[in-house]
Amino acid sequence: MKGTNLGEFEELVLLTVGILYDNAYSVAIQQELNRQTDRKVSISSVHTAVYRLEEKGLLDSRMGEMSSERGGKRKRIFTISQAGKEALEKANELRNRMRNQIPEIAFEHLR
Amino acid sequence: MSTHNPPKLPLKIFRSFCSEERLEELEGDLYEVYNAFIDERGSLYANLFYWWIVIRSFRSFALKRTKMRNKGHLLSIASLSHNIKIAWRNIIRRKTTTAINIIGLAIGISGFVAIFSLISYELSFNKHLPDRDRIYRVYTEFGGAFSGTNSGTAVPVATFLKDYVSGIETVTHFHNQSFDVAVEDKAGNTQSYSRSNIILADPTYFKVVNQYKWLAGSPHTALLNPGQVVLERKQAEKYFGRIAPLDMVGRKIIYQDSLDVMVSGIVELTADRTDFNFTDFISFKSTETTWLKDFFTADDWSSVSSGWQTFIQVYENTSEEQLNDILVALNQEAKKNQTNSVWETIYKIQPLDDLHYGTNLGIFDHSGPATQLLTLKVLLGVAVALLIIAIFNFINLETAQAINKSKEVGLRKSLGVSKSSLITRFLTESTLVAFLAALVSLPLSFYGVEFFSEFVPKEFSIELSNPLFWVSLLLLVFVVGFLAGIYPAFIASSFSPAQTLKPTLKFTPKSGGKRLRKVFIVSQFIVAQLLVICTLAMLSQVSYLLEKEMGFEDEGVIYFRTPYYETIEKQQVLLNELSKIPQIQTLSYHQEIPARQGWSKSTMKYYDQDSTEIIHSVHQKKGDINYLELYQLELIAGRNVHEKADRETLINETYAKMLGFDDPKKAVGVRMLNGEKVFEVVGILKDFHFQSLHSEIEPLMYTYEPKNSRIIGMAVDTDQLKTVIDQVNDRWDHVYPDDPLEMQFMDETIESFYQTEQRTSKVAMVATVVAILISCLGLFGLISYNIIQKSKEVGIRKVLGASLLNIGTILSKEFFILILVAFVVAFPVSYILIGYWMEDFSYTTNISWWIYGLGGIISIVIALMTIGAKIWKASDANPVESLRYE
Repeated sequence: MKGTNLGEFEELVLLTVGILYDNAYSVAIQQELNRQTDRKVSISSVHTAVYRLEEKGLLDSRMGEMSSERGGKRKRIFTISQAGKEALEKANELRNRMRNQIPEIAFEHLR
Repeated sequence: MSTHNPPKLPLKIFRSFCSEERLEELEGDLYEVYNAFIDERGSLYANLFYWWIVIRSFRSFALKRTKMRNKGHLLSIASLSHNIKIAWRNIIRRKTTTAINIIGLAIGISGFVAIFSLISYELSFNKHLPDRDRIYRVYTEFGGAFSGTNSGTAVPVATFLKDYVSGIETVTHFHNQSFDVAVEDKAGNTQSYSRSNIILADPTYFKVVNQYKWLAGSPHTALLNPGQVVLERKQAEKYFGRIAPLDMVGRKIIYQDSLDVMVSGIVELTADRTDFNFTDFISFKSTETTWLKDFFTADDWSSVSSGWQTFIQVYENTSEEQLNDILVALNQEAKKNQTNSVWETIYKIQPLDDLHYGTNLGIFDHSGPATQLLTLKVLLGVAVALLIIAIFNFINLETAQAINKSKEVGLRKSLGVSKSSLITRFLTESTLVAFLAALVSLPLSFYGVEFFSEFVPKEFSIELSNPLFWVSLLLLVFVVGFLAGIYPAFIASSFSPAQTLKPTLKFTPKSGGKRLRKVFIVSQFIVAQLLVICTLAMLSQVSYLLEKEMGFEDEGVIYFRTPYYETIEKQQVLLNELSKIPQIQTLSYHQEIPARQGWSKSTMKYYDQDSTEIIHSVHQKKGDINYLELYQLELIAGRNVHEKADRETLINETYAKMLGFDDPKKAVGVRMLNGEKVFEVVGILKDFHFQSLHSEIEPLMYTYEPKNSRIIGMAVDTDQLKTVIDQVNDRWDHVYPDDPLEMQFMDETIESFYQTEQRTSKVAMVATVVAILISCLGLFGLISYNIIQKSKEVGIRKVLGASLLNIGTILSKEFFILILVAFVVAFPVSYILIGYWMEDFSYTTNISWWIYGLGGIISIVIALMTIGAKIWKASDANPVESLRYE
């Protein structure tokens, strides 16, 4: 497992899990992502991401209750772990710090 | 909101590859997504979409391998040795089952090993020759009144190709000959040998057949001049003893009393699997000064001999058209030099790779018969079938026995062992059994090769020293272990621990696998019955062939050939001597015995009443006037030919009918022409089989011609055989002191026509026994299982007063139905197969229905014997035993 570096899609998934709070299972994550980002995300890409994030320790999970909508199967509900929270903050901070280092003059020509 | 269930097939696929831990959540997710899609796009699209997402889910997160718990554990040495230990204990504990399993698999494996070794041996011939893909043999096909092929060419073909045709890198020709060899040792004593692997060749031979290491001499000069001979090292050591190759050079060898040559080179073969296994290479130029010269008339395009072999090596990248051009040029020249108009010779080429397998042409005159590729394919089929039957058997028994493993499975599962490691554990067991079976199969396959020694080439043996053999055998063990073990492993490992561990109830698994077992039993019996029926049919045809009257006397007739290079007068001396032996009843000399494998034909012309020309290709028999008496050939009209009347002839009924005489007797007196020579028919022979019964009776004529009649035949009282043979030997030695006498019995000669058939039926017989044996092992295993399953039923029935017979019927009924089902399939298939095999013969026996019936009955009887004892024991058991558990 390679550190806590986040890919862009992984970061989005992580954020979505946070937004959905106690209802973050794969299908809900997919729908929320579709709504928020306006792009078509397939269920298996979400699966790939959440399980990898769990492997990295950024997400925790437990089994939820079963429902008829799911053919009587239980869902796995994900929550952000402490490490996940730190990773998000780190990514956020890194982005802000680097954003702030861009001198005003770099945007001069865009005016 | 109503929900829809996703399509079954993709779901099944998904379940099959998805890991257990993830299955529930993922399946639920897919279910949800699928239903959402239905609302959006309708169910058709949704179904397609479901397929798509199942395929997309074939990734690491879902796959079984991601089970982190088992990582490393699965393949560790510790678990492997644990598995092997447990497997070994299981094997030891269940002795009967294990023995049945091992024996069944061992038979299958040994058959496979023996046949596979033989096939790879046969397929490796001539593969060592460099440039073999551009070497071809030129052979002859006859057209016109005369049809057939000959592996050789006319003498001038090679010279013509060499001098006038472009596009050929090397042309080589050689003449294969058998000679008497005389070698003089240092002390001046002469040792003689009789050798057949001798060729007359020139240096081009070593260029094309590039398979020799030169121990002495040079490939370029060793055969260049008259009086030279190159020897193969092993043969040279037979002639001169174990001396250095260089010391052999310069020694003198005399071939056939008159061909004096000096050793100019010693070569060693670099491969054993070669058809070019000649030992003496005499320089071609040596013939120019000897009597052999007459054999090789350099401009005679019309005599084709299989001894005269022509090979060409074309340039690299020669196209089909270029090859064709070479043949066109050759055939034009051949046509130009054609001296007779009745038949023509057409030259064709055979790739070197086909040399060993061209059964039409044969390999060389003095080599063994060519291998039939079809035979190899059939053998491969038999080998695979044997292995599959054995594997079926194993699967059958193991699934039946899986119930015995239920306790183990339950306990392990409740201790947290995963299904996959249970499967590994059972596969270890089956592989171990396969390994033991392979060990047992080694001596078995050796015995098998020994048993079939008449089939396999003398040089063939299973190569124990070849590491490849062991690697393949090990691979086979793993494949067999896996194939045989995987299904039972799945069955056994799927038991649920809760059920298996309940103490009171006796655990009975679901009926799963029962149908499969039935399919296996039926297919085993189909194979067994097929073999039984086909073997019976073959045996009855072979005995028909051997017993059918050929139309001439073959018992008590002995014949032998006199040396062709000796004068006819010398033969007359021997004949005079032989006529003094009182026990010889009839004595005759002739060119050919009445029936043989080969033939010689001439074209005969006949003009009927309307002067229409009728041409036939007619078989020729020639000899003295006693021929008819010796072989008791019957005349239906006319008389025998007179001594010295070489224009008189006898024809057979068939020929007379073909000439237009409805009543063959009326053909007496007609005349016909062979070229310019006129023959008059003086008698009509009753039809007799002068070829094997594969062929129909064709036109035949007999003429008086003592000239080339080198066969002496005699009728002997069978009780006097020993004395006659001794006396004949004695007289022979007086007349031909240097030549060996080889006597043959006519009836044995006829038997040898059907060697292939006798061999095939022998194989079929063994295959039958093996197939029945394996099927019975399977049956035995299954009945034991059934009896255990039904022990309670039997007990209750007995208590209620059922008779032994009743119970026996209940227990065995199912099997008889299975065997009957197998028979229903085997019957038409064997009918077709037998018909196919019979097509080869012109004369066939009637395969009556009882042969088919007998096939069915035999299998039922054998099945009954197999299960009888078990059933008896079960029916005889005290019901208390089976019922007291409750």
